[in-house]
Amino acid sequence: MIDLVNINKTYPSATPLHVLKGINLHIGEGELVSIMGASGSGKSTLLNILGILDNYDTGEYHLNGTLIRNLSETRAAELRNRLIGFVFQSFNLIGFKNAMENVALPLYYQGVSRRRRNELALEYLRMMGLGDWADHYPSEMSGGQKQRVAIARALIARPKIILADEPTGALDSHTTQEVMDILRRVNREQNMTVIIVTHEADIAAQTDRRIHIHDGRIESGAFRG
Amino acid sequence: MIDLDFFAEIWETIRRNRSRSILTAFGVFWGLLMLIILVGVGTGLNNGLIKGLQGVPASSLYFGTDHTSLPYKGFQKGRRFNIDNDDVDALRREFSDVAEYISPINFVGSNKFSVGDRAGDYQLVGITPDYFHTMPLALDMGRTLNVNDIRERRKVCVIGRRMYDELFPGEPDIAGQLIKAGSVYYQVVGVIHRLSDNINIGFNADETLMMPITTAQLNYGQGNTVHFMSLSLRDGYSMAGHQDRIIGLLKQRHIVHPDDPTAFWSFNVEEIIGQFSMLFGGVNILIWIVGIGSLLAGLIGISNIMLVTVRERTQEIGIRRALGARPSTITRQILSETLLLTFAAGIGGLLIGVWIISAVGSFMASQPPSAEPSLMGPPQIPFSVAVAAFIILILGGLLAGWLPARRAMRIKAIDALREE
Repeated sequence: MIDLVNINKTYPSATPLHVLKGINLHIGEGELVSIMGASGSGKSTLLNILGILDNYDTGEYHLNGTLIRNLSETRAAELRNRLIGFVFQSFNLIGFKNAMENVALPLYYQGVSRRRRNELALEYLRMMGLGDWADHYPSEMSGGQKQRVAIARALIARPKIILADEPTGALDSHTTQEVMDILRRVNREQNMTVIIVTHEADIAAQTDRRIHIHDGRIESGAFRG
Repeated sequence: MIDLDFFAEIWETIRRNRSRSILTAFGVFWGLLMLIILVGVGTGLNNGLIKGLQGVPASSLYFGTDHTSLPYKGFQKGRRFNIDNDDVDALRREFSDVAEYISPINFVGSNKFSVGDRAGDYQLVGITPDYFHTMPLALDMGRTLNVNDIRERRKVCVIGRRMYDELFPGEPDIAGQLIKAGSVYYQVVGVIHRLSDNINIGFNADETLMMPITTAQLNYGQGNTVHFMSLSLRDGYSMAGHQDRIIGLLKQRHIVHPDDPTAFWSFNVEEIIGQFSMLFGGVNILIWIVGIGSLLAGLIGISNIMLVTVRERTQEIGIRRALGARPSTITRQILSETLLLTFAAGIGGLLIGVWIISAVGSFMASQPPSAEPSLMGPPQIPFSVAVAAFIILILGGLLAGWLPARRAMRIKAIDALREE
């Protein structure tokens, strides 16, 4: 599903910052992996590249068989929309849209009709146990509920991978477990590839594979087994 | 992808910032309102004057005599004199190739006229048929004077509208009826009225009885005197080169110093129209500068507020980008928002402006005609101006949205998501 070959990334400045130093990584379909690393290790940059939010300098990144390289903003937006579901630490829901509209948003950009996408959004909200909360706005919800809305939004376009960036970072231990259970369930039941970036060992422990990144290099877990 | 959802999205963001949207939109509203009202008033002023000169051939010269101010060939200065029928004939001969109308006028003065037991004081003038071609007049009934009336010194007359209203109130056809002046009866052949209340040349034709100049000269002891006259050139000729020749010929005939500045007065319609046009050209430029200026101020306000909006929405736009919004989608959204604001405000300004203009117009029309003659016509908005204002509005809206849209387009998902 994901193939990174010798990816390098440098942030140009007066003192250029070589952030990723030859990353090789393979993640297969249906895997549940975690990426761990201290801040400054390059894990955010890696996540941005995986999510087609940022470019890399050299190397090759194949996502679902497509070479991701020097894409136009428009093409990148299309691929993000169809291939990747994002879950963020700070939820990143749109405040003036209710839960259903938030979940339906990716389908809006695919040109799906309002009725159809609202139907689907409701279905996904129910799957997350939030069927009664469709009309509520993010400000009326708890952190755990908001993250479940975000997961529904990530899933609705039927992406190939879920990229979760510290998905439990803003949650208490009880809701953290709820969210992890959902992500595991999605992985298991839909055979969805799920990548969780975290610095919490007990979160990483619940994934099938732990990828450690340190100082721009992968220390362990680059390949299965 | 221009669909209901698209407009719902735009409407949503405008609604969310309602007071801000209204305040900014007000700038554009006010700008367009000002433009429309200014142009309307300007057009009204212009029309008022143009209507006043309607019916006067553009290349006309009105002139008459006054007193000399230079001694010449044995004559002292300060001499008064009149032009006469011989001068008219001389002008006819000399300018036959270029003159269209030559209209001598004998101004007899105020006289008492009566019809049955109705009576009143009105002006009496002697004229020729050409008079009716050189004045802003319209024929209400009957006919004007003809050459036979002049040649045979007929006792016929054309009367002004006011005179008709007072001496023949409500009578449908008065051709052939008699008006008594002293012991003489004149037969009415026609009724005329002035096209404009604003412009009189010599006298107010509405309150005047006009008879053949030959009849007037004979019956009122005027000899062959002409008090003033007008000469109009054929189409395509300009008075500019002819004015000096006309006055020069008359000076020569009356032994007046060629450089005498006061012996003749004259009034060149071409010059007057030229001065009006210049005045209105200037007023118009001013109107458009002020109007476009206030519109521009409004547009800049909108552009500015949209920049603020884009900045405020950086994170939201970033989220949308991450979820698959194309840059073009974002650009279109910002542009459409700006356009919608501009458009709604502009249409409002346009409609209210046109409404005010037409309200003032119908108010002016309902007033009794000219107790005070005014040069102001009812304000009007030419359709072309409304269309032009509209196009300026659309272009201005696009321009105002361009900068914020470009800034919004540059927002990358990664930048927005970093702002935490």
